[in-house]
Amino acid sequence: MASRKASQSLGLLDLQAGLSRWRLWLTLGYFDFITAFRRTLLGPIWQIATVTAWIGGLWLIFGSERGASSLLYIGLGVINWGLIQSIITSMSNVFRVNASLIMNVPNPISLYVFRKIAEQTLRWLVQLSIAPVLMIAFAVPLTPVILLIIPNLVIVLIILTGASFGLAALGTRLPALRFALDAVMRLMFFMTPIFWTPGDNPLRTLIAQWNPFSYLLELLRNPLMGELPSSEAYLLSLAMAVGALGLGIAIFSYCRNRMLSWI
Amino acid sequence: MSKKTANGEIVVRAEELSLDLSLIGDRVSAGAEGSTAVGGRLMKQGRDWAIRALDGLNFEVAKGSRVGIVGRNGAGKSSLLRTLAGIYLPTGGMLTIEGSISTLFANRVFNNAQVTGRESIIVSGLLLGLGYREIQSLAPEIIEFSELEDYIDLPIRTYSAGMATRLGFAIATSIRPDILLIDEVFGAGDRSFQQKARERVDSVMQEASTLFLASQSLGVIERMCDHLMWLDHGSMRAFGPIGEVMPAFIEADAQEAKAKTERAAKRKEQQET
Repeated sequence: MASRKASQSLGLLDLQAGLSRWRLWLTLGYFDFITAFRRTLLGPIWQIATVTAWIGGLWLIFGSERGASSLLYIGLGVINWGLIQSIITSMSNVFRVNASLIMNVPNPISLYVFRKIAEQTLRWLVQLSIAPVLMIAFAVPLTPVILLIIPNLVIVLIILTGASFGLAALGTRLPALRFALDAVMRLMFFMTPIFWTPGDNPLRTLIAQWNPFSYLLELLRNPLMGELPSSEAYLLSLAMAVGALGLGIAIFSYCRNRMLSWI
Repeated sequence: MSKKTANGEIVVRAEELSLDLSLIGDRVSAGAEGSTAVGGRLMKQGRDWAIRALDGLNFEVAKGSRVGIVGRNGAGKSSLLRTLAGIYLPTGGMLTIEGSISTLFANRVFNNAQVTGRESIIVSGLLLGLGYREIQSLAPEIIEFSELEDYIDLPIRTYSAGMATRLGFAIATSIRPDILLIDEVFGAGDRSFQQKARERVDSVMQEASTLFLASQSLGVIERMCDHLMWLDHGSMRAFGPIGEVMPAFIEADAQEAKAKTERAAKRKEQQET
């Protein structure tokens, strides 16, 4: 017998139920991604084409003086930044976008957060298919270090999932968050060592050090360059994972019961 | 009327069930408190406003009951159904439910016009809580019922509105829940399909062990229900066997309509003089 009381908090139940419907949100995410390219000649190859153009352009302007090898650094930087940026900016209106499904079919609403993360991760995977080309071209040594991308992706996705739940809840209550997030993430594109390196510039070093996104990027980029991420990056990321997940779930749970009247 | 008879086992119990929908961020005019406009009552809670969509409902529904819900627009019919479905959580009181619940609130479930009809069946089925195998076994029947035939492997973008509705309707009604919640029996497709659609909804309603049906159409309610719940501004005006509540509702409705025409006539008279 299921009882629903006003005092009961739905947050954790919703998360649990949403997570357990993985087959559903993977399917939804897959169709969200794939249907955008229906009837296009190149299909998802468009994703690869656009990201390649971005990488080429950035390298020409900012990287070519550092030599051809910086193309690998910039390429992996842009692709991995895309995952972080696209998940964060899409969260502010994730529940509004799914309003009619939320209001008409009884399902956990966390489903729609997982759906979006699945879609963006798939997009990243497709874009990542140019990584092997870059890695072979720049003779990245084939060592087990490369395999670190898998656990590191898990860590990064945990951090982003935690952040997503917090941002999705706040964005439902505060529609302005959407504009703020867009602006902040555009700024962070320049404040994160995506196409530049700290080098021996003290200001850049300072910015990279205090920017949490630097460490997420390091976890994803270094293995693919055949380099071990620093232990500092691991420690800080694990701390961020705990923090983001804790805070995100707390905000989501706190807002969950009232969230539907905010949509 | 139901073939199954109520056996006295209570499957839905509401105690002082209330639902407030907050209006944070929306401007409400100062004198709106307790307004009798159509809709739930506007209430001030501290600094913020809220709509009291459901106001202290108490009722028990036994297994096998067919409950029709009537009331003017904004009386709380959909809010009550959404609360029963677990979409809204009560903001006051308690609700106890036994059994699986399904909803027929909207004609289309998965709303992506780029997927094919066949893909839409799979995704919508998953959204409705069906398993993959279950969907596979239901699919032929859904395709046959919707009469889409060769169109089923074309994207929904190529369907007419009526065709898309047929498919969505066929999918939504393929469920077999213990407790079925229906909001305004949805019309579907052209005339020949409407007859089929009505028969199908009837059969889903017959098979569900307990039914809640919100509708403006008293004919549908009389045909399908044995109990009637009358909501007014979020409060319960009456609840009981349909034979007892229906006459009172019809009379009140007629009186209200009469009062309204009298008021309008008076206003017109005043304007003319």
